[in-house]
Amino acid sequence: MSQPESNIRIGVFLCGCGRNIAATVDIDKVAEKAKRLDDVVFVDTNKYSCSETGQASIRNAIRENNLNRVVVASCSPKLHLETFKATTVSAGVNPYLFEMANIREHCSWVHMHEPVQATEKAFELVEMAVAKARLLEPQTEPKVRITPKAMVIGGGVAGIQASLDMADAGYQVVLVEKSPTIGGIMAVLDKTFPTMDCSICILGPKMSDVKSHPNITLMAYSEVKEIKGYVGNFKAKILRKARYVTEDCTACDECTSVCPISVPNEVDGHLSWRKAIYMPFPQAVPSQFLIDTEHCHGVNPISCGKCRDVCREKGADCINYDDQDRIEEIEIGTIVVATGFKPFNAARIPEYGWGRYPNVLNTLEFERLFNASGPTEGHLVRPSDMEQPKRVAFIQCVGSRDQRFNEYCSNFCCLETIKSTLLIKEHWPDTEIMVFYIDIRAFGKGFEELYHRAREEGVRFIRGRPSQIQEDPETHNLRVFVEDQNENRFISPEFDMVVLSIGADAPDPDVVPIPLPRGADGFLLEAHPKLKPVDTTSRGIFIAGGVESPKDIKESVTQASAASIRAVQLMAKGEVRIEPIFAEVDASRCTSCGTCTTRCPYGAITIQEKKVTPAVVNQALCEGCGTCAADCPEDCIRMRHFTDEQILEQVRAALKNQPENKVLVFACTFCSYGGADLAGVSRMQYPTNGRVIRTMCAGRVDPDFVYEAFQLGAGAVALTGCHPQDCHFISGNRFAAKRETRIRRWLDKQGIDQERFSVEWISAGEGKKFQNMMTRMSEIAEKFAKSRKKVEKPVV
Amino acid sequence: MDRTSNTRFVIFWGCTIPLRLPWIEVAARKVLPKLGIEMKDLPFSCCPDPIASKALDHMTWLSLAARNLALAEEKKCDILTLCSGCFETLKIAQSELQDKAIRKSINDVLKPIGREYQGSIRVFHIVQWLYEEFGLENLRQVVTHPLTFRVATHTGCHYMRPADILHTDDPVYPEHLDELCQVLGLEPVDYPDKNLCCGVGVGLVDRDITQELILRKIEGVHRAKAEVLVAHCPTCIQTYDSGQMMIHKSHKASITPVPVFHYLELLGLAMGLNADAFAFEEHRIPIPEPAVRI
Amino acid sequence: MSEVKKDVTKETNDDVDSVLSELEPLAKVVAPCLECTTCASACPVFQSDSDRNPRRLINRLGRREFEGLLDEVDFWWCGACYSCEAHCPQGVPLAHVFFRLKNLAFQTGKPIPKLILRTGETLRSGFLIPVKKEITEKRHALGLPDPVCPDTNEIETLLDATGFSARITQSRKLY
Repeated sequence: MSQPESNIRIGVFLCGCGRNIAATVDIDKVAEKAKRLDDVVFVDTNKYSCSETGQASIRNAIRENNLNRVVVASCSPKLHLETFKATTVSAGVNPYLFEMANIREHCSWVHMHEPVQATEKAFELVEMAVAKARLLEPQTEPKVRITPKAMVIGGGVAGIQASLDMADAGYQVVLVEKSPTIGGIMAVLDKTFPTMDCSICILGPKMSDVKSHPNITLMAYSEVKEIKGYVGNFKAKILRKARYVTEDCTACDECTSVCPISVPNEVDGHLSWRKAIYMPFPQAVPSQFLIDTEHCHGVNPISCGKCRDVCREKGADCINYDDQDRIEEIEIGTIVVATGFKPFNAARIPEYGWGRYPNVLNTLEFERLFNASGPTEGHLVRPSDMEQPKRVAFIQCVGSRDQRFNEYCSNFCCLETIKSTLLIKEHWPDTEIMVFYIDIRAFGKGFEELYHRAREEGVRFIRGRPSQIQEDPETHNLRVFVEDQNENRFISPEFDMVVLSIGADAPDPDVVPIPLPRGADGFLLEAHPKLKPVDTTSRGIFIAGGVESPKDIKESVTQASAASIRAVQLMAKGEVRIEPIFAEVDASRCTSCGTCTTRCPYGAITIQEKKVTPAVVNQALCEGCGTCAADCPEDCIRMRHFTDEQILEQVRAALKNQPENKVLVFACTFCSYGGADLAGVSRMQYPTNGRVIRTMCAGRVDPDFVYEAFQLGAGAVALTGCHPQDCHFISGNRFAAKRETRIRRWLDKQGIDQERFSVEWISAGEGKKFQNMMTRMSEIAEKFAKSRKKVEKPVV
Repeated sequence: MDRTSNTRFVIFWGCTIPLRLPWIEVAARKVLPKLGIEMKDLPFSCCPDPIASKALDHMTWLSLAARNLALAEEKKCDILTLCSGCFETLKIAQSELQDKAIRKSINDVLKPIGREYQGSIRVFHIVQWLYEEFGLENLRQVVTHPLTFRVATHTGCHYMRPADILHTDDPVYPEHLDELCQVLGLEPVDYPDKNLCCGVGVGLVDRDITQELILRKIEGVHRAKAEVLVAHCPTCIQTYDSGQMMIHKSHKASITPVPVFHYLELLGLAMGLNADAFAFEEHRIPIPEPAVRI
Repeated sequence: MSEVKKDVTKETNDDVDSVLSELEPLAKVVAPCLECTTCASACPVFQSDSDRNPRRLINRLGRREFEGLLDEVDFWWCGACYSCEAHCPQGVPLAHVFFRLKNLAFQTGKPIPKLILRTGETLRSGFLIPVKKEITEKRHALGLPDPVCPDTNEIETLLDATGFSARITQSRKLY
């Protein structure tokens, strides 16, 4: 192990953050105590450390006092670590000699009614940061080249916009779309709000641009199967599914007239039929047919062959039965995920009768009925008898604002319905329309005006959420059971047609082949809810559109352009600095057991099977999770910037005073630490016993850290990390979970109550879960402190 | 036939079946043994009912329920109920008694009468048991005389609500009873107000509302052209069987009464039992001959 | 939900202030209500009689208008079908709340509907329906054995122990 410099000069800067910290924590008192810590030669307080003046004062203090270690006690490192690292650099000190103590999200904001304990805790958090700072070493950030090429996953309006933006900026873009055509939901809608533009008319040109852009490679009917690598250097494997129709296809449509197989047309919400050989809709891009092999008799002349025959007759010969799925590998520097949301499945609400009563439709089916290229060429008719409906009801919040399905509001449904009612009134002004709602959300530009117009046109808005729909078995008319809240009366008006205004469901868990953190609502999580709305915590990967949260076209386009510039920023630099948090093997002690190689999901640590040589780390591939280090039987792997000693010193500092009252929490940077921050941001209060130690991943937590904590008399210890499938480092939390059995056996041997140790999976969106855990573990620690059992030296 | 599911039960008859609608008990005593069920009787009290008794004092309600559960537990025997109300009561009681503190305070009440409930036995409803344990496949095999009329099923309320405790069928659109009828050869129809409560609960304070609800239900049955109503809760059955007669007699409205069956009666007929094995004459609304095709 | 369930097994007494404190947890449990009215249109009683809206009392509780709440008669109209709860998108346990209000009304000596009182009285025999000669004879005619009855001593001891019998007698006096 390398020795720290002999002349450590630590500067501690306490931030009041206006009143955010200062209102609860007495930072002057903390400053006084900090002065007495070993190696601390300078202490100061600031009102707003992150501001220009604040940073300047820190900078000056570093220079004037020759500080060579800097500790800022303020907000979460997830917010301002980079800010203060930059300040440190500008003062001439290596940025990896900088450490933060989180006395806001983890202290002042969660202990608002206990200023005395909060102040005490703040000091101990500072002491922990100082303990680590003492052992920090300078690091240099290696630079890696960034491939000036982007991959966009998802070809809806967000994906299309992002592709065009980056391509126009001069970068190569690969756009991968799962379905046979790009366009997504927008391509199948009829009109858009609030301008009542024809949807495909405004999207179509963009879709063509994508096809013809020299910088864009369109891979439709393709899926990304694997993504490996790191920012600037991703490798993706893409499955190009066989269409059985070549690019020479002129979309003449002759094949469909001879195909014997009819299948419900998913584009029309199953309201119409298509053939097994088909093009999704006339404006599809690529403008190319394809064969649906799931329903086709068989792509060979023995089973059928009619389509190929007629195509040859016409002299085109662009149907190729020998087509095959193939895998294509590409190298890209950045990725934009724009895979959209899933429309809510209304069959989950059986009392509304969707799927059972033919005249109950969902929004997408309704849009297709209205669409001129839909199943009825734009005529609004009832599926049961093809008659025009005279009385139409719209029901809002289907699947949204509902604890049983999705708690959130789906953003677009109110305006979607208002627009639809205006379309009906435009063509058939005598139609009676009732909209049943809980609240009308018309928050965007032009939205309130459209709502006003709808009311002027005679659309009736009734506040009351229907409990059920019943169908008359003969007429197939529908009766809606609802309370007219205005009249405080039960009514059951009859309608010819009911449209369920469905909301958005979260994307599927496997929408991309890499684990990206999700919020509690299932949507992909942005790096910061206000300031980094299109970044993810994975550098180089961005999100845009419905995959991040339900939204309309304008907001999807906005996010897409935002994600594009974020990606272009990286690609324009040509190179990016890599965080130097990697593993190092002490070759002199390595026994070549190979355990570490089984822990690394990146293939960054390798060992030559036959030769008994030490393991070798590829620093470019190493992401710094630390899982290898924690499981190395010889303890000969060292994690830069998160060494064993640095972590143990934090443990010791945390448990110096009254350890029996303390709850030591190991939290991972991307998930559980974020969850703890969220609890702070949300001002969720909990007892002051907790002391959080941040590692990159839960996989870093060596059982020795836990043993040390209990040996020092800790009241309780919690090991926290990402949810099982969501580990930012792919498998770190899985290995952390495996250690639990070992640790619990040790607890038994030591006579330590099992409940004093807890393993919890907390995502960055689960502030409440963190609060509950802290409350629970604090009670356990208090209980223990009261009983005061002594811990014997372990038999290890 | 797969007989790995539990078939040894103590039958919880409740109050309504033995004391108001004994013809359901007649049907049950004929049909259940044919399904391989070993039946036993114990001196249970009223479950107590989940509407009136529960409205008075919760602790008393829970104590009486606990006593019933304790009786079965003493004999180490699972409970099979034929009444949805008893089912709901015993299941809710079981769920509440999982809490140690509550169980202790209730057992303190039971101590003077020498009873204790520890929380071990299971409670089934006959329809639940048929659907989940016996299974539709096995049911298909025992049907030798399929019935062929259009039925309107009435699952009622207490069989599947509150759903977070009962976990039987969908709480707002139950379909298990329909599937059980289909297996007998019957044609269950979708009809307006299929999921409407029978209204007996509110009848404790306002009989007019109950009558309105009965009327709505029967109108719906007629609109869908179903021939009979089939249910599995004796309280619902009594509400419709007697209720329709009362409305009919008092000329409050003109309705053609719809005969009401308990599912076990139809199951018995489909399993080949003769009509005289049952007590059809005890139904208030006469069962027309053609409906009982054997 | 478990807070309400635990709640309902606590015993209460006549003290009005303590009754008001019993209503506080109910106000908390109905807090998620958005007044979306789904419960009302799902309620078979409200469907028949627009004067009996289940929302009204729930919203009064939510606004903590506790004064005179137990004198309202509406909660007796709840037929315990749980349709409201099954449809509520916010998980508000209306039927549980109504049961609690009924229990509190009984405990604090408010007049209770006659038929429900009668049920309580008959419960002392062990069944909801008294075992009369006619039914025993009918059973025999149908080939059924005598109904199996519980030990009435056990039942009465139990009902006395919980204070139920005394309470019932008090309630009867109101008529």
